[in-house]
Amino acid sequence: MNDPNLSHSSRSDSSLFTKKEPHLPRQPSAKTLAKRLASVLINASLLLLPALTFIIVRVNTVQNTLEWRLLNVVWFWLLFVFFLLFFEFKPHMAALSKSGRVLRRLRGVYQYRHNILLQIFLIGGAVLLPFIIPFYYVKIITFTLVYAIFALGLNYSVGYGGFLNLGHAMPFAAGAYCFALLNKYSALPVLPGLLCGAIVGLIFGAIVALLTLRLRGDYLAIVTLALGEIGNIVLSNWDSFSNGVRGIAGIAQPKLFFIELTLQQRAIMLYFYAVSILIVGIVVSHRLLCSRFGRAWEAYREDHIAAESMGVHVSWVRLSVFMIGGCYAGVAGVLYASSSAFINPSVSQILISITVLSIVVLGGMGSIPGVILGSIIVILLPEMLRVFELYRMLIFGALLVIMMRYRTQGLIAHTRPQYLKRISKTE
Amino acid sequence: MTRGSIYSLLALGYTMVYGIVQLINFAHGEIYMIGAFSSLIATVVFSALGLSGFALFFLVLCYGSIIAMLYGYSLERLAYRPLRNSPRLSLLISAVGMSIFLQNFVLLTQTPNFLPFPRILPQAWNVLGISGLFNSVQVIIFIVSSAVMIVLALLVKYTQLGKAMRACSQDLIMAQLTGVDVNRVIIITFLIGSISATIGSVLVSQYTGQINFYMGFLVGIKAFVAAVLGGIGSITGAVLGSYILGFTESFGAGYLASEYEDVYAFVFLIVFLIFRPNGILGSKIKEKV
Repeated sequence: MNDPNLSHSSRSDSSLFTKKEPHLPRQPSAKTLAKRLASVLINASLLLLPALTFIIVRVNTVQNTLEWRLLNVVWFWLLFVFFLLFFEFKPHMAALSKSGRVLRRLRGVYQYRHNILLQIFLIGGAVLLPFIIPFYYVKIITFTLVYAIFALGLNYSVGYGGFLNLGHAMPFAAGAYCFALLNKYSALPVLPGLLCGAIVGLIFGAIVALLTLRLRGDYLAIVTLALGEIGNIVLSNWDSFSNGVRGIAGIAQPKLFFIELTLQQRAIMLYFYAVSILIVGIVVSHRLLCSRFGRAWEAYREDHIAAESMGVHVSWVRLSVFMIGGCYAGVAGVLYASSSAFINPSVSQILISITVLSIVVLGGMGSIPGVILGSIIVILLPEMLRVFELYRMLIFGALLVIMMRYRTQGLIAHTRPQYLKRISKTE
Repeated sequence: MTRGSIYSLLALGYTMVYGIVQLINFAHGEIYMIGAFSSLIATVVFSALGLSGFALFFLVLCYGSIIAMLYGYSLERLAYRPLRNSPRLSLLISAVGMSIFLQNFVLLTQTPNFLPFPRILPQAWNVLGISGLFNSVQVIIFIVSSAVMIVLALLVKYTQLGKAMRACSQDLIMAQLTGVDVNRVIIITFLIGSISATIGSVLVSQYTGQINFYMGFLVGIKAFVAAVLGGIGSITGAVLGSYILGFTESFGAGYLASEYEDVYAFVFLIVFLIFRPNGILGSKIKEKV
């Protein structure tokens, strides 16, 4: 069953994209270098030429005139030349594979599960962290953890099942609104709220799966996108249910055994909720992947016809992947609502779905440490570097394209856990 | 009718690209938006030169199309061609990434606000002696979009290029073996798609009178919905699907609640795909193992 040769399929797939390093002579003459530089410059500037039309000119509609911003060209070219030198004249593949090696070593540390010391160190660090760092950062880290849980949910459908899901914000919003409304009308505390969120997320995940049971590939992507958008429109317009675009404010935060906590203590409490749920989520995700379910999911992803003929229940694969993913998203939604104490329909925006997707893609589809690294990069870094806020989405978009081109498998590539090897070693 | 025409202009681009490279070009709606912005720039320039009426309209269309074509070309070269042999999922993610990138690029370099688009075309015509029976913009939208569709249908059916396109959509590798320059055909498909998208966007901005950086996203998705409804890959299907979608939305907005206008299109799509996963005119594709 667990033939180690088979388990490499995901990696050998990805080797299609990693170009072999061009075989260059040891010391290329100045002439060839100049020629190469010229051709690259001409090609790249031709491709980027259209961008200039918007960078230079802007319409001033009040006076109906054009604004010429020629100074921008200088900045643009400086940036452009920088990137060109970075990508073309560094042997970039070598650099990337070197970073890959470092990451692989990190993954080796992660996969070495018997290292109890490391686990204790990590968990101890997580426990001590909120007492060391300032209050503001506790909130940001909680936010990152919430997104990590959310992205772990998407990882089931995108990473394990291979379904491109562009509507993952729907179960998230469902969880958040479910908790917010229950809290508003019947003063539901956070812990049972988490359970409610999980159930609601599960139901919404099941709805998505049932509606798309016959669809595959692009059709599936567009229908999940449509479902997410429907959710957003309904939440924005159904005033009597969701209070429309004004949103719901004053959502309760956790207490400790009916004792009211201060602002800081509540933030730390939520941080601990998020950490413990994330740990549970990781363990569940990992155990499921090793189980019969996980093997069925991956078989389906690699070749659905072969999987079906081997007796994998195809509809059940899809249902389970979407339901469990929805469950994670619902829990993340409750945590989000509770930590920000206010929600409005923007939690169901397509933007949220795409942010989560870029976390999963960036980190590595199907790989758990990858997803966590991805959420740190996508959520934590921009919060730390507030300067780049305007350019955040621009960079996301470019990053998705670049990742697909140069490192499809993500920062930390997913590999199947290998048992046979370890057993044979111990024997 | 107006909506249907606009959707069909966009859906043509989607369906042609999909027919050949099996890719949802998510950035197509962004090309539409870029066409509108370039046309606005052109309008300001050319009207400062003293042009007006149909001459201005034509020149604006030309300039907008050229810029949109440049973007379409770069898009294909940078985001799609390097990934041609990779799995569908990565192509799709790359397309989504490009769409976000272009949206925010325009947001940063132009403006996050709505821009008013000056009216070039006359407001109302006298049709058969009755003034105000039709809004003239609506009439022009209908005429222009029908013309574009007819030209495209003829192009695909009767020219050498059309033959090459059909060959590519049947089997890319086989077409390559028989001597079709596949890269050229794909580029030309993208260019044609960009032109029809620009025409659509200029017409729409004549109709609504304003543009912003986000205008392409939802319209792009709906045009894709239309293409899927008709059965993606077929040109007549795309036109049919667009008109059906346009009518559904107009009637839904008119007789039911108008704030749920966008929901009808999506619900229609979902319900439709449950019963007929390959669209109205789409053929059932047998999968080979």
